[in-house]
Amino acid sequence: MSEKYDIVVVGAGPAGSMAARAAARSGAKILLLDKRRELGVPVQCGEAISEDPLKDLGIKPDPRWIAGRTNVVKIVSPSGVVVRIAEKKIVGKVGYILDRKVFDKHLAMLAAKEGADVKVGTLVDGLMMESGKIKGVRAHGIDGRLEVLADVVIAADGIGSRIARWAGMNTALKLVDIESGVQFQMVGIDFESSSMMEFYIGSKIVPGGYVWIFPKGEDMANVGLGVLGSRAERPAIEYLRDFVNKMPSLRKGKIIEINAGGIPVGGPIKRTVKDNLLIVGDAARQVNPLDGGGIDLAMQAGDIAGEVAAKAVAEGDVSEKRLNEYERRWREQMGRRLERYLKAKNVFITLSDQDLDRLAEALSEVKFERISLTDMLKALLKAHPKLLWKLRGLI
Amino acid sequence: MKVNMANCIRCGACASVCPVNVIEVSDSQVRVEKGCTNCGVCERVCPMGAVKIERKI
Repeated sequence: MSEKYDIVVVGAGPAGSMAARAAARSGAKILLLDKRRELGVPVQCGEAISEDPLKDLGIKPDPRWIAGRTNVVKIVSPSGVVVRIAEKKIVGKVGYILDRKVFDKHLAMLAAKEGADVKVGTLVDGLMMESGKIKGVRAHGIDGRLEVLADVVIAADGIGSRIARWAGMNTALKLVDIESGVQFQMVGIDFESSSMMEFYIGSKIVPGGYVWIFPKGEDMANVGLGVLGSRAERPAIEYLRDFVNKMPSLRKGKIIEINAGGIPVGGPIKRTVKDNLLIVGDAARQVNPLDGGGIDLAMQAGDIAGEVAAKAVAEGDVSEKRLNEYERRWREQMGRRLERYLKAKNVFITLSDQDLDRLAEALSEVKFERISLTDMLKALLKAHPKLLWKLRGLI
Repeated sequence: MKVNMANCIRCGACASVCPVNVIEVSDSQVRVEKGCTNCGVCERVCPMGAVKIERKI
């Protein structure tokens, strides 16, 4: 079967669905494809997002996909020094813990309501090319074999984007640029507060990464970790099992779901546009390299991509040069921030457990007006000038 | 590259690091196309410990 669309979006995660929504809104004929039969499943995410990006994109918070609300952060250093940061001081303010199984379907529904066609259970297995130009995608799935002709392909196909690689861009990740992530959704556990996000760091717990506990209600939470690919000596799930077994508050809980996935933490890819092609979300590594968060960035970039693609199609110019508006705009919005967080991550992974303890001690004693990376680093430097040489690139 | 399908949860981390782009992960299977070099990065990155590389001695 062969079909013709203005734009085909591959992958209905937050980036793809937001792109499809924005493009459909502009009146373009859109097809949103996903290999999964159920969107949002399997969950590959800690599910935390701050409130503001949702507001900015006009997504109204809905209790059906908000599993928890957080306003306090607790960080525990390797030797157990605790740093607490309260809501008003955190940039981004109130946080939500999402239920991605519902949230992702909700975003796809928003795209559909704007007029996008949606096809789930359909795996894209190649690009259609004609004299070196991308003409669409080949796929197979519940409707058999499918050829989708499109003026623009938006690759929202996740970490290590195969589409971008078929288009000649090398998006394969090096082991230092990927966190191997695993998460248990646990029930029957204790934590200090259902509005507190907890983080644990240390090379014995999880080399080059951190453990997170994100509450979803009174006795339930996402308990997960990411271990840096280049540092991992064992599979991520073994680090997580050890952590849970060591913590009396978690050990008694029951695991009702296991999630896993790679998290791209190497900073965005160099180019996210090509003739007839845009790359968004995890596929473009639009992820905060320090904390691995990217739902918000994926949604913002997706929104821009959809709008630009639709405009380009309407103008009859889908060249790299025209589509570059997407690249310019998303970099304006988040590029510098991502660069700084990448530098911070590169420093973070060189710190010893002793360094981390000292940092935590310094932070636990400082009263902040607000928490930003710069403010935190300045406070740290004041307390521990000897760490200056390691942190110098960040200020 | 061998995948223990009982442990694999189809997350695709292996495919994202594959330097020769020969791993395709779908809901039902992990397909390794021709060209696998047994380099082992997929084994290193698999969160579930489901990937094993068969090394010739």
